[in-house]
Amino acid sequence: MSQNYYELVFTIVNGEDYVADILTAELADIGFDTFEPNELGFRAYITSSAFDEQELQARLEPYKEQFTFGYEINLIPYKNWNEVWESNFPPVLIGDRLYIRADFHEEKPSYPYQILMHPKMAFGTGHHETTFQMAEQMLDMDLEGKTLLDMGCGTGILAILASQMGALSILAIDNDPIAAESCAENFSLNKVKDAEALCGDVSSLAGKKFDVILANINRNILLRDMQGYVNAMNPGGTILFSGFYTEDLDSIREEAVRVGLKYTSHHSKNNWVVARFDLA
Amino acid sequence: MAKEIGALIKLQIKGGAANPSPPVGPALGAKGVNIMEFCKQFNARTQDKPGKVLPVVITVYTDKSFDFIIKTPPVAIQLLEAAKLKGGSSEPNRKKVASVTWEQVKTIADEKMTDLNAFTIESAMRMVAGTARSMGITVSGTAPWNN
Repeated sequence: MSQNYYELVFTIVNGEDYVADILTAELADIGFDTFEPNELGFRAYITSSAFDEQELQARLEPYKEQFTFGYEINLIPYKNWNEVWESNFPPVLIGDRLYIRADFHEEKPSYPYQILMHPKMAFGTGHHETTFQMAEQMLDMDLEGKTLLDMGCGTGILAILASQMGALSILAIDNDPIAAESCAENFSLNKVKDAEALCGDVSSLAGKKFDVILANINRNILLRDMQGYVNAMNPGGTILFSGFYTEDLDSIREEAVRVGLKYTSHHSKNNWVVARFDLA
Repeated sequence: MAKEIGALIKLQIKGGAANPSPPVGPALGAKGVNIMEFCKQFNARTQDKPGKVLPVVITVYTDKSFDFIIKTPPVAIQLLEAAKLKGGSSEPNRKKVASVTWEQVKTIADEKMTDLNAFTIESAMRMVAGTARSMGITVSGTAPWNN
C-alpha cells in the first residue's frame, strides 16, 4: 500500500520568526508530522489520509486577524525516495557466513547464507549496527526446526536469514504497510517457504506462540509491548531485542525481568545494543 | 582530513516519528543518503520526546554519510504543551482559556536562551511571554520583576 502526502506551502507576510512557530505548533497538533522552515514561511507535511482541511481552517482562524499568511496545497504522490541509495548500495558481509547483496552484485557461493535484498524504502539491509548485530547473534544460535516471529520486520532480512537457518512457521510483522509489502516481496525474491508477512502490531499475536522472537524496533515500543511478546513465547523460548542505545539497556532489562524474562547477554557496536533474554 | 560538506538540511520532525516520506525522503534521498538509517537514528535519539516537534540540522557529506544535531522545540510549541499540561485541555486552540505560569515561562526561557539571542533570563522570559500573548495564552500571576 502506498501513502500519498500533502505539502502545505505557508507564506507569512512581515511576520516575526515566532509566527511560523505558532502555526507549526497548531499544525503539529492536528497530525502534520514534519516541517521545513524557509525564508518566506515554512512547508508542512501530512499523510493524505490524515488531512482534514476543515480542521485546518478552524485551527488557523484565530490567527487570521493578527498575522498575514496564506498557503497552497500540493499533493505529493508516493514514490520510493530511497531509490538513489538503493540503486548502488554496497553489499554486506557478516563474518564468513552471511552475504547480503542486491541484484546488481555478484553471487558469492562460498557463503553458506546469502540474502538478496530489494529494500524498497523499508529498514533492514544489514548496513545498520542493529540489523548487523541481530544477524551476528542469530548466526550463533540453533534455529533448526524453531518457530519464529520477526517483530518490526522491515525488509524481512532477519526472517529470511532465520528461514535459511532452518526456522519454521515464520511470521514477520511490521506496522508500516510499506515495510510489510517490502518483506513479502523479499520473501519471494529469496524463495522463502513457510513464512508470512503482515501489517500489524502486538495485537496480531493473540493466540500465537513462538520459540524465538526477534524485535529490532525502538526503546518505547519494546517497553510498551514486551508483555505481549512474552505472552507469545513458548517455554524455554529466546527473544532478541535491538533498536536502542546502551543508555537505554537498563530500562529494557528492568522491564524484561518484570515480565518474567531472564537476561542472558548483550553486545553493542557504536552504542547500538542487541540484547538476548530467555524464558525459563 | 575533514569530510567535505555537501549540504545542510534544516527540518522540524516529531520525536520518534521520522519516516522516509516527504520532506525527509526527497531531501535526503536526492543526496544519495540511506534515508532509513537516518530515520532509525533520529527516532532512537528522540525516544524521550515522542511526538514533540524537534528542529534538526542534518549535515550531508559528499561521501553520502551524514550527522545531525537535534535542538529544543520552538517556544510556541513548548507553550502549547505547557498550556495543555496546566489546563488539562485537549483543545489548545480554545483561545483565552489557555494559560501558563511564570514558572513554566521561565523553564522554557532557560532552555531557549541561546536560541533566542537573549542575554538575560528576564529578556528571554519577556520574549516567551510575548509569544504566549500572540497565541492567546495568558501568563497567570505577576511577572517576577514586578514583585
